Amino acid sequence: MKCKKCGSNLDIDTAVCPYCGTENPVAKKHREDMERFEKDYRATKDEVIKNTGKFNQKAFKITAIAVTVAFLTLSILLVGFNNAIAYRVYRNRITASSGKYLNEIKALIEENPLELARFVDGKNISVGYDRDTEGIRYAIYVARNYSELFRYVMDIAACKSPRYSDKTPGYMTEYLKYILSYSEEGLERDGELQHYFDAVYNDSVLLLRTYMNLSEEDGENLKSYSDGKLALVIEEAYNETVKE
Amino acid sequence: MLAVVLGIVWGIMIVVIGVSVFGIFNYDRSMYYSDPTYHSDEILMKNYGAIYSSMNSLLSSGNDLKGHSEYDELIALHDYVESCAYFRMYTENGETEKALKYYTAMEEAKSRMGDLDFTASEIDDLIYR
Repeated sequence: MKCKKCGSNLDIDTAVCPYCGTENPVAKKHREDMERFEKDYRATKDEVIKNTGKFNQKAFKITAIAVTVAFLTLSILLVGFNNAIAYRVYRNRITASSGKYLNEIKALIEENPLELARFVDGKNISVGYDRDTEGIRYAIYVARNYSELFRYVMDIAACKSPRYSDKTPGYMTEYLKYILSYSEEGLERDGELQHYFDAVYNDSVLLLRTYMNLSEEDGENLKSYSDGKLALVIEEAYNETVKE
Repeated sequence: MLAVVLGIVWGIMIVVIGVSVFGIFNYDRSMYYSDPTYHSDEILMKNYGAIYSSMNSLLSSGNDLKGHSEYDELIALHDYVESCAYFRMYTENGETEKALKYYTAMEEAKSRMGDLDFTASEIDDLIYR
């Protein structure tokens, strides 16, 4: 801009012309405007800082409460399902592959199905679905069911006062049926295990004949009985034994 | 105020989570059938089949029983019941060789029964009744 009196060049913020000493009216207004802008700027800045602080504080509170509620829910679930989680973790920890224990399993198949069931369950061995070990998998299923049948029979045979339960004959029938069906399936997959499946079946019959008053005729024909007839025979034998 | 409440809640949560996590990784330590009253009651009532069942479950559970000698005699009792049952079963059905094997197992189990060895004759009576 130029001085109104002498026409020399002036900056917008030069208050007085350095050549003629005339006051620059634009500079005064400019200074006033700048002061106002500065004041407005500071006020706005202060307000923004204040509001942001308030927002941050509120956001922090909400976040803290939300996180606490989330963790509280998780800890309640953890406590509620603690036993199930612990059992799963525990079983996973001891899970072993069948390959590692295959020789021991084969040796126990020749020995005793009760030992086999305890060994496999104790080590939580899961036999895979390989073609080579399919027969062994069924041998284990048979051992587990025989072990349960044996346990139920011992609850009668080795107790002075066996506890009567109308559900027991049903369970025993189921275990016997599983022994028969898994033996058949096992044989289809591994004919070499025939002696094992036969031995477990024979032991099951001997067990029921010795401790459950199963007749010789029923013992010999058990395999050919229908499910209904099998259930009836076991129920009669159980009732007769427990009543004694 | 909020900080105090949240502090208390977090304190409780940390303790609860800590105890739960400890429980998860020490599950096998809490699995033992540690109630001696249960087994003494069953012995008094001569319900050896029930002891057989619970010991069989324990042996099938995968627990490391080293250092838990309190179960030794009960496990011996379990073994005796099993061998005795097999012994009668095979003897009465003419399988002498197998019967002999279980007779030896009975004797071996009896030698481990300690204070519970008096139960052997009672188990025999029950199995042969």
